[in-house]
Amino acid sequence: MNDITAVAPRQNRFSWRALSPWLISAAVLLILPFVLDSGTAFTLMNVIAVNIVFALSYNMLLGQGGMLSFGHAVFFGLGSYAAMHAMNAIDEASYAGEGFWAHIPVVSMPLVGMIAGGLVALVIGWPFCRRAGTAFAMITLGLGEMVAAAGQMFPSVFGGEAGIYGNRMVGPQWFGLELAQATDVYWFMAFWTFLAVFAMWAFTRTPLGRMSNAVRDNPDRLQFIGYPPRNIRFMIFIASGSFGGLAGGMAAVNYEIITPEALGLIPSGLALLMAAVGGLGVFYGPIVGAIVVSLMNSMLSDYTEASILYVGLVFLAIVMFAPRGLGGGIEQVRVAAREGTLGKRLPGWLTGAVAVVLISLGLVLLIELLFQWRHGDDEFAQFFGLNFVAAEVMSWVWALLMFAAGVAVMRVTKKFREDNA
Amino acid sequence: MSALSIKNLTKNFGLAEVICGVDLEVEKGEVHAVIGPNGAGKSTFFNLLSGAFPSSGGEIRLNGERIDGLTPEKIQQRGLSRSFQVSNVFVNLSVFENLRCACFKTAGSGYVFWRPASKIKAANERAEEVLEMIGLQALRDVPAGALPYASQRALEIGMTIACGAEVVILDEPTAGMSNTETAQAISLIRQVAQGRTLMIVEHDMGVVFELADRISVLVYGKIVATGTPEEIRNDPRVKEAYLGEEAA
Amino acid sequence: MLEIVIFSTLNGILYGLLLFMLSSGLTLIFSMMGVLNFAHASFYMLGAYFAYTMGMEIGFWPALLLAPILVGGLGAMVEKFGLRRVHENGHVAELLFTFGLAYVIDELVQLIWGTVAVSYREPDYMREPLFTLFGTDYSIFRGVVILIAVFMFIALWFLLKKTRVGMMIRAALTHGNMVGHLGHNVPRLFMGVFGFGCALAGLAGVIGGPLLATEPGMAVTLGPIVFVVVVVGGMGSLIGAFYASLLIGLIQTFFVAIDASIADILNAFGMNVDPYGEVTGITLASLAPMTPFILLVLILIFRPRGLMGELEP
Repeated sequence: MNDITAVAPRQNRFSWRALSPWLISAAVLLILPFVLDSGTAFTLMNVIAVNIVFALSYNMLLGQGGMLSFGHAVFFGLGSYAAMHAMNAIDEASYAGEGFWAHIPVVSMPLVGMIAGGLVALVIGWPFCRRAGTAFAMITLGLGEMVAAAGQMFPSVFGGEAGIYGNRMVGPQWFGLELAQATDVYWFMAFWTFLAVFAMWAFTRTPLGRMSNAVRDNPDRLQFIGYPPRNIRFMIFIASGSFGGLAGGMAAVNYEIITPEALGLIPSGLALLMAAVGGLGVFYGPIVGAIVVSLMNSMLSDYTEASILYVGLVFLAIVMFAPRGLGGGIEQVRVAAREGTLGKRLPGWLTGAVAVVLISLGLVLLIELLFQWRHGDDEFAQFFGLNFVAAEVMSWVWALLMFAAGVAVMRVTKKFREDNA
Repeated sequence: MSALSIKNLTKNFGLAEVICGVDLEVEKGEVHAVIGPNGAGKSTFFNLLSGAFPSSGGEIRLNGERIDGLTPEKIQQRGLSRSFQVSNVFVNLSVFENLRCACFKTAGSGYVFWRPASKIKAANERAEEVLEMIGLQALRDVPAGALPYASQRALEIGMTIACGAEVVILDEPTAGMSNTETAQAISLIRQVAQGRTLMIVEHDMGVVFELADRISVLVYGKIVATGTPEEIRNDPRVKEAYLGEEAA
Repeated sequence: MLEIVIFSTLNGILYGLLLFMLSSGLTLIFSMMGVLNFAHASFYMLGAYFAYTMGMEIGFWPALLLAPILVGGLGAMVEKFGLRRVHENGHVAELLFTFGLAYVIDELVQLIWGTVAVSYREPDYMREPLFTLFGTDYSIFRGVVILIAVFMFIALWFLLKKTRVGMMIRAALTHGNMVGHLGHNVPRLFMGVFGFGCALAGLAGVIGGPLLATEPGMAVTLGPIVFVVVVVGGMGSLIGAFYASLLIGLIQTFFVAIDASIADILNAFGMNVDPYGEVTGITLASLAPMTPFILLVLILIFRPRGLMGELEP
């Protein structure tokens, strides 16, 4: 039973322990803006908020429903477009002083996105949900590409290559949120993120949420307990599309612009990346993944040109060596702590971590050298503050040494780890 | 009216005739065993009854109404439920969750997403009942895939009866079990049989002769004999085709 | 008009043959191992770039031979050290692995060769016209490409039908488990098939690079189309992939050549439609990139098992 997509849920008793993650998260959300006070920090947090909801909505399909999709950005993008058009409608209506849209606040745009995403899923989803697995993945790939291509074609809807932009400081302002400063936007983001995460978590506790796990584990058996797998899959598809659209609505308010690129394979792939890195089998996995990948994407580019490559390598490493993702790793530690075996297993894990660090350092240096050799305008590659020149053989030797050292440590401590597992 | 009435049932896979005209009547409330040599078509027969495969001819009536050609979900709704020879459970859900999922249909709440599953009283209570009946309370939160084999088989049976179907067909419920496990399974099946019509496919003759009210023998896709255990034990055709010296 | 038809047909067949080169490898890998190699188009890209780099030193024809072998070798290594490890975690994990691989290969190519297209061209003497029709030249290179493609199919057919390895592959196409039980070294077979499939993709890259531009985005552009071919043809069917490749190649090429808008067509039928409207002003040429995916959706609605597929996947 090596399925990477699932971990058994725990039972349903109410307890303070069960409530604590929510309380802690709420507290963190409340305190964060007072701790991190720079403009870049807020921008980053808003991006992370959108990605958290996006990645979680994706995992409703994959981790919980067993349906691998390469077209999830369609819901995100179309939800974002809907919200953008709505914002512009609000702008016009408030200017004119009358009309339906004059009463709708911009803070409700995520709901607009959610409805749009859900509608799209409802309309197109039925033929797709016949089967899961590779076929479903291919169908969603084709769908995503088709919508992305269509996005270049109808300028009044999609705005061509330049996209459509909007202004979030229009319409009635609820809770005194002008949405001008990054702090205002942060509260908007925090509210919707918390709400969306809670809603998606609550969904997993409902009968439909349980049945989605069942259709992932054994679609054949589902028929014999009275439910056609296709129906269940279709409903999950709609739910996932709705929350994807919700993330899109959040993005519309945050970025104030939406282009057809947001519909294509790249953002769809990003959702998959974040969910898988974080761990498909744990509910909070995609949250961790969204945070880590967003941080990597935004911060690494300050230090290296190859940031996207690093993200890809991390993803590959996780798929190959830690298929349960970061969340799965956290769960392992938690279970060990609960069972009392943590002390026994920690040394093994730590030595493994040391090996991983060494291997990573070697690889990073290798890649930086490679980059400097092929493209460098500078004289040297920057590596954690040290400078290495690609022309010198010694630099490459250092890289290989670190890599080899890491592999050696891994090998040597492998038996040690297995004995204590 | 018999619970299950099968007339001239046939099934072809291409040119291969696997089921060649089966006639069988299962009385209400009885335990009816189907035995036969390997390759006789027993699993195919069950798949036809439960709607997993469409038949090539003949009719199947459940309580007088035709069910051949219906989808498995519809057949389950009409009151026929089946278990599987290879445990077909939801491996990542806990034992309790497995049972509860099997109870959603009767409670009418499989599609509900606005209330927590724990609040669906009908499903939860029924799941607890079945959990007790199959004796797996201690393993309640264990993921089904991690269960020891005999417990998985018990869960399999539990999921089959959870929906409250009146007619239950069990596909080799004691396959692969040790003697003690088989004895436990027999007592569970006896419990299950109360108030229900049961049809089971079995290889273990001990189980068959202990539980069955009547036995049918399926050989090369046809029923060659039907009768009480005594009659079957003494039937020369059956002896020749199947039982050999051992049970004579 | 005739000119458009003839050249579109020729180019459509050319493009279709290229697609078949790509999708045949993909189909082999999928049928054999159940893995949909998301990185297949990336190996195509590697073939083009390798041929470009090697070709500058050793010439076109040696590169034509060596580049696919190199790519195939790389594919075999990927299977042995990467895919095999992930195999036990299920099909989803395998797909994720090949997805990540595609990502990484794309980035590495950008790292090594830069983000701008490289001028990988066919040798000068092949740019001479093979024949001239209606004033337009059809280069020797294109004829060579068709020859190479046809030669490849014959070789593939020969391999599958007449050799022992081919027999094993055909057996594994429908009964993968049994082949292992019969004592063949399945891991080695897998490695060989994966490597061979990637080599085919690499070969497609060697000849596709000059035709369709050699740039880092070539995998992302062509990749989804290859998957459409495989699904439309019927997953696991080589003949289906062949028909689907030609179909999609011809349709897309024809659409590109036709500059008529939807309004033009509707008006030709007597309807009076605004030729500058947003929907009606869309030309068939601008629809061309979308045609494979429209076909995909149609097939999925009306014939989900594809043109020649047997089982629903």
